[in-house]
Amino acid sequence: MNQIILMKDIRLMLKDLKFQIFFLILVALFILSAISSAVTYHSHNDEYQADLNRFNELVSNENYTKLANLINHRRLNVLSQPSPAILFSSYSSFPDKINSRVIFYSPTLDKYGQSGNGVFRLNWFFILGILTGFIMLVMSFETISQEKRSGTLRLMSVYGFKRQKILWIKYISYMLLYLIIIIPPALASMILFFALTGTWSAVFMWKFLLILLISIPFASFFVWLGIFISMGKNYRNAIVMIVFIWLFFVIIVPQSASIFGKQLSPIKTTTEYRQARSSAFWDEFQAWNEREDDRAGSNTPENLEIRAAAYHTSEEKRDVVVQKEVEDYMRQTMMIQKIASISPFAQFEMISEIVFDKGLYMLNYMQDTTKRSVNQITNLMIEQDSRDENSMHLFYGWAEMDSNVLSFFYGSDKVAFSHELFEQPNLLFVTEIETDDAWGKMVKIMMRLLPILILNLVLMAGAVVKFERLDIR
Amino acid sequence: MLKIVELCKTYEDGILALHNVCIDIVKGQIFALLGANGAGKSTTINIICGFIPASDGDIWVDDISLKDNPRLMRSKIAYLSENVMLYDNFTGYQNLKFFADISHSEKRKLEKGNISENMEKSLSQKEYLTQILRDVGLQDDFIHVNISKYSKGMRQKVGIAIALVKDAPLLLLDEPFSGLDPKAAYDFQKLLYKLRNEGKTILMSTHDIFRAKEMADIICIMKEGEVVMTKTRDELESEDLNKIYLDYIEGRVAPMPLNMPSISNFVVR
Repeated sequence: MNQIILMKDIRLMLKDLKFQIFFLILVALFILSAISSAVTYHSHNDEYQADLNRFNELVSNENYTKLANLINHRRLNVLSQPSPAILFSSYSSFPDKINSRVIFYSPTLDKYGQSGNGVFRLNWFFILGILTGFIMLVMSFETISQEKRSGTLRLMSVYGFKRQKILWIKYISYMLLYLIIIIPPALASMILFFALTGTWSAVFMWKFLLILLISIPFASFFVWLGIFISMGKNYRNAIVMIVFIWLFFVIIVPQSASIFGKQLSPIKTTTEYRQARSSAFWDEFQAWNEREDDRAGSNTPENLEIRAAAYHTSEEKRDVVVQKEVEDYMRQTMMIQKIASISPFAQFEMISEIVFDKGLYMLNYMQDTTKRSVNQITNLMIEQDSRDENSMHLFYGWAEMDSNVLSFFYGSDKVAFSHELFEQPNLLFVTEIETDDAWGKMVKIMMRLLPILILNLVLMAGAVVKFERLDIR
Repeated sequence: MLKIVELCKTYEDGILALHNVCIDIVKGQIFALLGANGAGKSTTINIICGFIPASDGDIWVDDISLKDNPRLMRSKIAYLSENVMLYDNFTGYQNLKFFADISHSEKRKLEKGNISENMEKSLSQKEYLTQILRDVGLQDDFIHVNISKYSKGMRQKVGIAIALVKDAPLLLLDEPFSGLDPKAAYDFQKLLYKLRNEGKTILMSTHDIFRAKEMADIICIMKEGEVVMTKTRDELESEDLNKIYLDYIEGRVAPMPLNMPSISNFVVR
C-alpha cells in the first residue's frame, strides 16, 4: 500500500508543471555551470602557469636566492593550483587561485580573481545550496493543503491510513524527487566539466558525489519546512512565508552576520595597525638603546652584535603585532562565519570548504604550513650563514646597509650576512598545503552537519504533531 | 447495518455540535439526514469517517465498533464528499486506479490475503475499471482526460466509482446533489437507486427536501446537534415534508421522543 501511495505521489509530482519547469531550469543551469566553470578554470590555470614560470625563473636567479638578499625579500610564495573544485564554487571570499606572498613572520594573503557577489555566481553551490532549497520549498509548500482542498486526504483517511504514514510517504516522495532532479543533470555537468578541462580525477568525482550526498539533509530541511507550511490555513501567507524564509537565509542572515560580526569582534584600522607595528619596533629599539647606553644605535664595529640583537628583537616585537593583526582578522572572520552559520546555505558552503580544501578552512592550514616553512627556511639560512667566515652574521633587514657603512669607515672586507646562494631554493615556494586526513575531515563534516540534522528532527516532529492535529474536514 | 448510539461531539472551543444522536439504518436503505447549516449532519458523517473524534457514544457498522476496531469499521464504508476534487493531474481512470489499488491492498491486509478471486482478477484488468466508469455514466471520451477538465457531475461519477470499487456495504454521501445541474442530479439519483437495489446502504446528508422525500426510505431531521424527527417514507407519504421540516427547524413542533435501544444491545461480544 505504501508503494502505491509513493508511486502516486511521485507520478503526480512528475506531472506537475512546476516540477517540469524547475527540472528544465536545473538541467540548463547545471550544463551552464560546467561551461562557465571550465572557462574560469582555463583562465586561472593560465595565470597559475605564468606565475609558476615566473617563480621558477626567480629560483634560478642568483640575485634572488642570495642569502643576504633573501633577508630583504623576506618572502615565501604560496601557489595553489586551480582544481576541479571550481565547478562547485569559486569561493569568492577566498580565491580559488591563491597567489600569495607570505611575508616572513607575518603571513598575509593577496587575493586575485574575485568579482561580484559570490552568492549569485553560476556554479554548483548556487544550484545546490541556494536554488534547490527554494525549489524544494516551492514544490512542497502546498502538498498537504492541496490534498486537503481536493478532498483526497479525507478519502485516504476513510481507507484507514494513519496520518503519520501519509506524511512520511509525502516526505520520501519529495526526497526521491530531489534525487531525480539533481543527480542526472549534476552527473552530466561533472562529466562535461571534466571533458572541457581535461581534468578527469577520480578523487574529485568522489568529492562531487559526496557533496551531492551531503546536500540531501539540506534539501530535507526545506522539504520539512515546506510540508510544515503546507498545513497552514492561508495560501497567501504560505507564499509570503516561503519567500521570506528564502530571503532570510540567503540575504538577511549573511548580511547581518557581516554587520554583527564586525561589531562583536572589532578590529583596528589599517593606519592604527601600521602605527602599532612601528611603535612596537621603535619602543623595543629605544629600550635597547637606553639599556646599552646608546650602543644599539651605533655603527661602530664593537657595537655590531648589540645593534644586530636590538634590531632582531625589535623586529620580533613588530612581528608579534603583525601576527596579532592577522589573528584579529581571523577572529572577526570566524565570528562572521559563526553568525552566518544560522543559515543552512552558509553551513553547506562551510562543509564544501572542508570537502574541497578551500576558503577559511584552507586558510587556517595555509597559515600553519607557511609558519612552519618560514621557520624551516630561517633556521637553514642562519645555519648556512654560520658556516661562512666572511659573514658578520647580522640577521636583520638593514644589516647590509650597516655593513656598507662599516666598510666605508673601517675598510672591513666582511659582509653583514652571507652572500652565498641559498642551498634549498625549492623551499621558497609552497605548492602543497596539508589538511586533515579523510577521517579528520569526516568528523568535521559531521560536526557541521549536526545542526542541520537537529533542525530536520525538530521540523519533522513539529510537522508530525501539526498533521496529527490537523482538521481535515 | 449502521447504528449510531448516543453520539456526542463538543469542540475544543466548547461548542456542542452533537448531543446524544442515535440513528439505526437497516441494510439496503437510503437514509437522508436533513437539517439547516450547523445542525450536525456533516459532523455525524465526519465522525463516522474518522475525520474528527467523537466526544462520547459509539458507532457500529455491521456490528464492528468504531471504538474497538476503527480500521476494520472504515473498510466497510465508502465516502463521497460535497465537492469531489480528486487529483487534478490524474485522469478519471488514473484516480480510480489509485483508489482501487489502495482498496485492494487494504482488503488484502484486513482479510489476510483472503481476497476473492473476482476482485483479484478484475482489479488487474484495465477493462474492469473502465467498465465501472461506464456503469456510473462517465462518457468514454472523458475516461482518459485529466480530471481538472471535468464538470462537477462528472467528478461525482468518478467519486461514486471510487466508492463502488471499494466494494463497501455502506455509502456516506455528504450533500451529494449540491451544485449538480438537473440532468446530472437525475443521473446521480438513478445511480443511487441502482446501488440500493444491489444491496448497498446509503446515508446522505442533504438540504434538498424534495429529493430526500423522493429517494429516502427513512428521513431524519437534525436541529442544533440533535435528532428531532425520524420517519419512514410510508409515514411521510401523505404529509408535506417541507412544512414538517420548517415546523421543526423554527421550533413550532417539539422534538419526537426517540425510541432507540440502549447501547448494550448493540455490543457484540
